[in-house]
Amino acid sequence: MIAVAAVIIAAGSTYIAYDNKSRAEDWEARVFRLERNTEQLNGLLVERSTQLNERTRELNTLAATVTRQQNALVRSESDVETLSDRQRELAAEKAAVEDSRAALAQQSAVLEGVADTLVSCNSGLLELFGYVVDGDRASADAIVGDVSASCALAESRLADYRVRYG
Amino acid sequence: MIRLAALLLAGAVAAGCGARAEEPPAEEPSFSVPALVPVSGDVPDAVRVAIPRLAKDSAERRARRITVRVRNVSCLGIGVGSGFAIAPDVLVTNRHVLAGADTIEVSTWDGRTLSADAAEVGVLGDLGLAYVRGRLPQVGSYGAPPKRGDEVTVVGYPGGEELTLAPGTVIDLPPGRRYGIEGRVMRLTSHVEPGNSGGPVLDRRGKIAGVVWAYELNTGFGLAIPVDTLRRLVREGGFEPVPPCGSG
Repeated sequence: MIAVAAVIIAAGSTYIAYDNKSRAEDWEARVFRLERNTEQLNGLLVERSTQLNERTRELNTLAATVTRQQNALVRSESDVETLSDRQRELAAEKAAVEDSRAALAQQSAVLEGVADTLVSCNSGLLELFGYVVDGDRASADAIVGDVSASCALAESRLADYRVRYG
Repeated sequence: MIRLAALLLAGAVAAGCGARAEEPPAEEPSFSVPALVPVSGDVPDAVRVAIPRLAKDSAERRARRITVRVRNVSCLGIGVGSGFAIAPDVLVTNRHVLAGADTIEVSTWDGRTLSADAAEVGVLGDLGLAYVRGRLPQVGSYGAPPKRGDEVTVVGYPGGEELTLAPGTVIDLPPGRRYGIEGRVMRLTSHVEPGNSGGPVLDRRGKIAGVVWAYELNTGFGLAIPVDTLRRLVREGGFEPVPPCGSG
């Protein structure tokens, strides 16, 4: 009886020991697979980190380029503004010069008119003087009125010119 | 007794060794490795893309472009006023800026000089139109009729000097008969000087709100003809040839 019990107990113990060994092997295999997965994940992590670093480097380059271009754009806008201001100044100066040119042209035209009357007066006086020298009193009397009027006109226009232009 | 003790010991050993180890989980340890995305060339490409130039067309720039300097060469001398384009070859200014002109010349903001082929002046209002040979830099667009309190900018060439922009507000719009002209008159806080005559009054959006006409001697307020009067007179006509020099 006792012997039978001992056999049964021994058989049970043997079965349990065998089963535990099998489970230990399963756990061992599982650990192996997990270690392999961990290695793969580490590899992936390194690869991703490398990519991330590369992308960060490119973004930094891009940021630096954008900053340079922005600075250049600001300088360019400033230059354009300066040039535009200068263009307006030059346009104003040109307009003022054209005002002066127009005023001078007008003054010149008026002066030309004064000169014409003075020339006419001078011609008349020379003609009159010739008649007086020649003793041609009749001819002198005939033109003296016109010469006098011509010289009066010249004097008047010269006075107007002086009043207007100083 | 000894047998019994041995039996119990064997039972105890069997019981101790018989504790079964835990079974590993049924599901396999797994993880999904995300697919690797290769670094695209987008970033380096973006670096090479040139930043487009800013196309800023501010109201100030537009104001400078539509406004011109008007030179009136007459028997009395040289007169200077302002004006602005309402068509590529037509500009608006004041009657008194064009009056008596033998020659009318227009200077643009960028230094060009254009001659006017013809000109006419308003019979009822102090307005004038000049038709230039060539294209004016930019044509102004009409805004809404001005109201009291509106913010405006007077643009012109005071004293025939450089172009200036004088901000201000519309004080009121009294009847024009008080000043001897048709319609209403716009009184402004903006500083106006001789030379500003004929220049545009622009609203906040850079659109034409009126035409500078004069300033009140007792208050110094600028006076302008509102855009609705300008539009009506331009639409309905009422212009005559420029009066000869000396006739006013």
